[in-house]
Amino acid sequence: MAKRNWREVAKAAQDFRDDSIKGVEPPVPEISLYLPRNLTSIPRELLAQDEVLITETSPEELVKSLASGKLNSTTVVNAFLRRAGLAQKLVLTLKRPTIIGTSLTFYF
Amino acid sequence: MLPEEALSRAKYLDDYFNEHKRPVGPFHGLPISVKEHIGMEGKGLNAGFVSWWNRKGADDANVLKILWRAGCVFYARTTEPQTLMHIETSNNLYGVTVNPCNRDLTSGGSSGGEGALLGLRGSCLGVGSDIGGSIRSPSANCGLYGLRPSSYRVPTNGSSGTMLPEEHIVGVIGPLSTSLEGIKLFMKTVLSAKPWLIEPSCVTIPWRDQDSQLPIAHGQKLRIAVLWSDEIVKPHPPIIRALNEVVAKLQNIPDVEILTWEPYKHDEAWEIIATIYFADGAKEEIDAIEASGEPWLPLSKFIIQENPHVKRLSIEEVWYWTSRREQYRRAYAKVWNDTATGTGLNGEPEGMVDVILAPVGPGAAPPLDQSKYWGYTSQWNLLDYPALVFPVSKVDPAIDKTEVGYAPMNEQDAFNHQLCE
Repeated sequence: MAKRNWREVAKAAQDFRDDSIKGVEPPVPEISLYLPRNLTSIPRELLAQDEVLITETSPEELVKSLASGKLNSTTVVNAFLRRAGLAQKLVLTLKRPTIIGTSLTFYF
Repeated sequence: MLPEEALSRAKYLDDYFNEHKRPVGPFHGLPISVKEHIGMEGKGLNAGFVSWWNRKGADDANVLKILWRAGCVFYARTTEPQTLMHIETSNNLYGVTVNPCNRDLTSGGSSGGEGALLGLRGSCLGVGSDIGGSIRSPSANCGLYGLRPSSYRVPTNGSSGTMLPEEHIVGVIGPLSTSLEGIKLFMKTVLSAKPWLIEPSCVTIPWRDQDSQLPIAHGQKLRIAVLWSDEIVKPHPPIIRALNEVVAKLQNIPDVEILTWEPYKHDEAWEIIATIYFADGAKEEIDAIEASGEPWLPLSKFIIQENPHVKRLSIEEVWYWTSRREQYRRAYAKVWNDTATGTGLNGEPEGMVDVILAPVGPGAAPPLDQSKYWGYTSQWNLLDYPALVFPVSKVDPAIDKTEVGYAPMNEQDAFNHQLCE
């Protein structure tokens, strides 16, 4: 691979990542450009109540509910897909910290 | 993200349950997130390198095969740092992964993608890897549980990275979770599948019921020794406060004894591990970065180019440093055995300290590109001790004040102290 191309590969990687959440239904919510420093309350604001409940349940409780048929896998998986898609948008940034003085590129 | 496959798998599991009226296995229907370099068949396997973007997994990693047979759903793969050897998570493919509690800080690394995802509850159980702190750093930074198991317990075949066949410092795979039970469930499920049958290096020890292992079961106190500082880099005030809070609670339990753990030459441990991390002089890492011309990230420069211990070792030097590692392990075992209170039937020491309670890092989550002290995690990799991280508290600027007039012990300590601001 030519040394010139690393940015093209990086762009392909980011497109791949962003495309990968398109299969999530309902679509992953949009997020504001102006994010608070603490991101942890945002999922509760943007997701449905049942999605919040499922994703905030411990794994041991979830496996019990799944094993007994109280919850089905499609519902659980979909809730986590939605929250994970949202998480991806929230915590992955292309911003490089200014302390090292490299150039900044924003992709939002 | 793997939405189509995940939903298709979920449907299969739901249909199975409806037909057979029982789950496929202990993880039936549960979504489990996976650090990207733990391979999935046909899927990308770049381990954080731009030049590896087109690599694909030939097969599912052994640990994932076990989790799959237990009925789980794979739905998300998480990112890693360039080189995999940062305790943060930035690469030139996807950028920087920040801490969900404070996006000016790192989520930790190298399983920082897992840390951030679990921290935001986009997952409740994830699979990471650790050779210097990579499960424990994101767990601590993001307020989660994480386990670095002993080596040769959880099968590692099918992961990607540099220097894979080397054995002088072994990376492990282990769980991160939002609950302690999630950690136990992972270990129990993986070991119940007898991984030693497909990966003979794994030891043939099942997951042991912990109650029978505790000294209380034998009428003795649980002896917990606290490592307040490794005497090289002093932990920040919030860490000391957290340790004090845990100790205060433990002191209220009748069958628990609290002591202090005196660190034994933790600087020597770093010297050894930093030398054996890159026995080829980091040639594979350097080649992987330079093949694409991607820029060197600050923490890659730190651990490779600026690391005074990195040099290509001869075969004799590899043997020498391996024997230094073993000598150090024996010396540390002696320190441990010297805490014995008695002798067993065969002359073996008995009644030693049961567990060390220690900081996971010299501070709370550092600002981006500032995580330069590995000593509180890599120490236990060198010794190959299992290490569990659990959340205690969050930083409170009103309580956690920087120590004024502190005289740093050395350059690393000075760097860490000024980070406290």
